[in-house]
Amino acid sequence: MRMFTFKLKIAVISMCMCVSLFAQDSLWLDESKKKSCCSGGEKAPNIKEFVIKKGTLQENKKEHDFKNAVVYVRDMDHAVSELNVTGGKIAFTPIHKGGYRLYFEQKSVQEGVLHVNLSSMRIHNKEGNISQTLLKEVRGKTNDSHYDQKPLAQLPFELVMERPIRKHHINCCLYSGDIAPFTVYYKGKVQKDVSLRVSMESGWNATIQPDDEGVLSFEIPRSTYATTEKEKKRSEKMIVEASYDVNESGVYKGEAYHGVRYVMSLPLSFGASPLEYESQVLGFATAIGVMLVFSLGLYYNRRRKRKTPKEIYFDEE
Amino acid sequence: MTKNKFSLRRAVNNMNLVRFRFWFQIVAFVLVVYGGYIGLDLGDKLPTFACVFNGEGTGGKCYVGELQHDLKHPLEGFVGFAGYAFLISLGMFAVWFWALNKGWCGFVCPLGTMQDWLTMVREKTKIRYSEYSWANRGKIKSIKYILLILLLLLPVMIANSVFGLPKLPNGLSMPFCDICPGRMMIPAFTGHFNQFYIDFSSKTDLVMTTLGMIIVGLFLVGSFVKKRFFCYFCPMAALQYIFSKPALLKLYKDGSKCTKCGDCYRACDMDILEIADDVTSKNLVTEDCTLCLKCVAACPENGCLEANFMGATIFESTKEGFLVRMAMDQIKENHAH
Repeated sequence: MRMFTFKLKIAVISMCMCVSLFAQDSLWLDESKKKSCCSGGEKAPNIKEFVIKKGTLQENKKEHDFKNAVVYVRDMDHAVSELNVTGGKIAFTPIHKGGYRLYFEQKSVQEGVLHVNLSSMRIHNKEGNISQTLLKEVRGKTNDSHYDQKPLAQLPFELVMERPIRKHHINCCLYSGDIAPFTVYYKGKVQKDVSLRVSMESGWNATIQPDDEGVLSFEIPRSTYATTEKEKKRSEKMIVEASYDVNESGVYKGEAYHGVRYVMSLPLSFGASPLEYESQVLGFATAIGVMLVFSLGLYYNRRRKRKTPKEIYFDEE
Repeated sequence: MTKNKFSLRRAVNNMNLVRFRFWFQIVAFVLVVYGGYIGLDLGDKLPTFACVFNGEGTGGKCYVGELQHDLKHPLEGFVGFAGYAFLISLGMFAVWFWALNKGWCGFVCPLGTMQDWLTMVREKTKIRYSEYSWANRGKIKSIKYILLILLLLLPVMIANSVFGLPKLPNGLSMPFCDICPGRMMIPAFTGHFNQFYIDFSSKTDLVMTTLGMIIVGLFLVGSFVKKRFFCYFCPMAALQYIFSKPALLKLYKDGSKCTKCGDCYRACDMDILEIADDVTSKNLVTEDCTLCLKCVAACPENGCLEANFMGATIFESTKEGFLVRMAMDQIKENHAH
């Protein structure tokens, strides 16, 4: 009886934990939508603006309190700079064409625990500043990968997305059916006991447990069975989040804490799998069919054109 | 005494060009196709088919892909960054190209190397080669220019309404890459066969990807029976030829030393008649020439043909070199028998 009560307690606690996992609010970086026009016919400067959203993907609100917040930017050459976040806005003017990664960090002490909220996102800048990026354009560097990023030295805790495993032909983005692997780093070392929470715009939630090497991977599910043939570019958002508690005491801005809780979110988007509207088997069949037809055509053409040796008649008269 | 003294020039002129080119092509192929795995990054303006679709393997990227991408901008965008980026890319392509001229095709291009390997397989299997009919040569030569114009025009027509015509669908943003056999074949060498597909999402994609599959089939069989089958249609070759005149590597001919024996023409993979017939021009890098230098190696006349880099002769035809190579071929043939 005592054993049964204990098991029941455990079950109730774990259920509550699950509910709390999904019920708790996430905090993530998001790029604010560009204003459609520019004033007075002048071209708008290439400023990227970001907001912090709090809540769930379905219901969220913009966060305006950037107290004790820092934003780091890492460019395609891994150079890190710090952004100014005063005035309730995160604004950034990228210099070079290519991929940048932004890292948001905010600290606060609540109930004796230091909460370190982190979020990271990647942006692609299409237009650089030509006077400052001339040499880079001349060089034409191509290694600007979305994945396999090393953890940022400025952050003690980080959730990093590794290269996805995919069966289709598009290398750049995420699609349903891809296997997305993540690794959690604490002070530069891989943490093998941290789980991952995934929540999607469509309402799909999951908790992912790490494998023996600490890799957290899941197959991005197809969220709709509505026809996607005509909506090749349809995309859906998802948030992946990991948290890590450390028994550490100290003082932050005059407030004492006896534990640190790191929470990091990665906002990602994914599209419908290209395998839904393409056929690799048919591709191979077409190529092999053409090879067969072309080969046979050549063979018969050669046979037809094969010349018989001329017969030579000598006039014996 | 002086006769036995080692001379680098003599050694180069007497070298086995076939063997040298074979190994050079293998090294270039490894760097271009697998270079990315060892961190090699030659940039995205290479005048050779270093395929964009090769993912992390590529050691650099083909300029044709970049060119199509650069042109897909609204015309007003060309006044700003897009215009500068286009000019810088074109300039860098020219700089890369001037270093080796058409030698990029003959020595570096992975697609050209694949064709040479298929030719070697055919020769080993003793299957007869084919030729394009001379009656259609003019039409065949013009295909690469048509492809070049299309690959320049179609991306522009996606972002702009040209001559009041409606904008083209986005599926044509990289029209040449869609049909280039390199898109399927080069990633295949890194174990990725996912570029073999037919896209049913729109009519444009269906047509372009099906054309791509047909062309890769033709490429594989065509290259087996015809030396450098695809190079006749290659728009990269057409683009390169526009920039060929100021290039540093040249193929020079001294017409006064030519006996019109025709050995150079017979050695040429691209069946370029001018190499044997033209005794008045000095620079013989024609639109189809791949600067493979087989003609120089096959020429029996002293100093008649030469590969010249910035005014310095780096490889020239000599009677001795011709005889040495003939002897090498004879030994190889005897060995085979």
